[in-house]
Amino acid sequence: MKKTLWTSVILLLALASAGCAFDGRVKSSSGSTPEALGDGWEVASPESVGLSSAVLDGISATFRREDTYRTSLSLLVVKRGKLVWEEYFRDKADRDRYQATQSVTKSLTSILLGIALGDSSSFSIDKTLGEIFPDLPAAQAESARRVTLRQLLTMESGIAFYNEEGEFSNQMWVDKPADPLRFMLEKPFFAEPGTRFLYRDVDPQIVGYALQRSTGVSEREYARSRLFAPLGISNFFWESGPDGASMAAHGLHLTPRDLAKIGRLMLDGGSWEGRQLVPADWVLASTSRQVDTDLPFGAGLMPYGYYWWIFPGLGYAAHGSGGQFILVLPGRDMVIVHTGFPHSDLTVDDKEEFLAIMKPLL
Amino acid sequence: MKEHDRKRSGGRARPFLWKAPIFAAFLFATIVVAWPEEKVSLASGYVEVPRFGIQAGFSLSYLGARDDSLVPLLHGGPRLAISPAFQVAIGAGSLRLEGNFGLAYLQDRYGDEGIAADWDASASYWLAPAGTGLSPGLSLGWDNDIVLFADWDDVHAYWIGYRWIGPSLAVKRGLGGGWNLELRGSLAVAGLASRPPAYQSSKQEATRRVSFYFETPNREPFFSWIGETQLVRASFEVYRPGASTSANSWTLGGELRFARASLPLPAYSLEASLRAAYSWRWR
Repeated sequence: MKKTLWTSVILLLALASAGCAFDGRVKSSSGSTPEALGDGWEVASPESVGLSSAVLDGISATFRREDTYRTSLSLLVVKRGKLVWEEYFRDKADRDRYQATQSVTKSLTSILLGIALGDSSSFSIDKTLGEIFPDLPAAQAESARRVTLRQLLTMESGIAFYNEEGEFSNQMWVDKPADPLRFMLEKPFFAEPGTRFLYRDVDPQIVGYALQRSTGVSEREYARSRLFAPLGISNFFWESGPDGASMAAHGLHLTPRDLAKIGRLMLDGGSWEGRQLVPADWVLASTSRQVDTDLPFGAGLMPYGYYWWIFPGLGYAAHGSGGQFILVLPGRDMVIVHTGFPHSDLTVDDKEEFLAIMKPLL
Repeated sequence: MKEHDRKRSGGRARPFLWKAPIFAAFLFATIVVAWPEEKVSLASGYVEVPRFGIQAGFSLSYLGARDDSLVPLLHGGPRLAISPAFQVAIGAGSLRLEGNFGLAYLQDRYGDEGIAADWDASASYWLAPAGTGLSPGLSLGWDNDIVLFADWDDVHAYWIGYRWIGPSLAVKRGLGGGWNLELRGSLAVAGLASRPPAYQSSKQEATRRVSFYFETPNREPFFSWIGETQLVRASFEVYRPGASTSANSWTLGGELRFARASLPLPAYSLEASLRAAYSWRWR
């Protein structure tokens, strides 16, 4: 009897340990030489644009590691308009897969708003929500009606609808309110509009509704026709909420190469291959300091534009959780894109840490 | 499957047609040959037990889970489960209803954490045993494995849900000294499967709701068969029934359960459990 029991225990333990045979690897580098795919990217070697392959390889090696930055997916470097470094750390197929850009979406919402503002003489960032949505119920909080687009663009609406603990995400996308816009505008205020920066998803989501109201089409459709088509971007996905409105704070999915196109578009002042897609003055304004955030940076606080993070003296970035970065460095004529697993913080997800890794290029 | 799911799956599913039966046969054979020196005939060694039985069990397991839809890393760790069962003799055969409800804490090799919840229910009917003690049978099952790979994806769940039918086999043997050994195994051959989409949206899932764990593994079920989804269970029980008028007893046993889904990308779940249960039996 004892032998039977011991045999069974040993057998089960042996079978359990056999489970280790199912373990796999996360990383498998694609190599770093970009291929010419006829997708609008001219490729070149790092040396041909004055960069060092060794330096780039040193940076890339940081993300190849599986023990520290294991959710890193890609690193792309564009210099002088040419794609000179393109490495996929998990699978080369990630080159052609779109993935969630998370809050990089906010920066795209800003770009699209800039295009819409350029199209209309009557649409301005000083419009209030009461003016943009005249059909808001009369009972709507007066504070909400007075909020301006500018305050929403600088995360200063004061609307008390937070990202922490998944509050925004759960209430908007899980609970699915019947009228999401009204639901957001009925939230209380934690501060008078225009008085306090607080990073949240609610502000860009309301901007998305304003954009939809101004253009008459969803943000997704507007992006497709006015931005992505001219940029040659067709492989994308933009999620929508329960009422069909695009998720303006974190719903856009793009490939790394297409993220780099967004960076290059901004670097070139909104112009792509000689065509002005985004008003140059909007590009400048949205990537210049509009407000100080509550994040420490150097000796002070990190400035913020219109949904772009500003690094004084260096450049600016779109940043989404999980290590999604479009870092634009005008002084270096360079764009750096890094992507990671979108719902994990097991890679670089801090702006200062990211800049520190990129220091050899700065 | 949505348009973006189709794009993402890209035909990478790898059927498992020939491996599953071999694996199942291996498991059955392994368990049976573990007691070769104690084989006795049913008539000479097996202590007959009453016709009705209820069992309340508690399992300590190792659970390993991997889902390539997210990351091909094995997450493994301890699992605790409760396992109620009911058995009744019907004619010369027997019917067994059983369930398992388990929770596990998982880590990958880097210490990244996850948790898993699983629940299953099955009904098996076995014909009367032949002289060898072997009873062929048929099983219906509903197995659900849900894993939250929290450090790799903090907003989505990954699951293998399978409502299946397949053959089963029971073996009753006496071990001498009044001890009984029962072996049971089943193999899913076809059913309705459910898997997460090949590509996840950025929307938060309602993982905080208890109902989520019952609804999720039934989302968008699709017909599947052993070529796509494999599920095999093998278990043993050793017990010493008391006197025939009061055959209640403690039961010690173990179970091995393996599930693999190939769509949209491969996923695996492996449980190896030790179980203690108490059985109440009536005539």
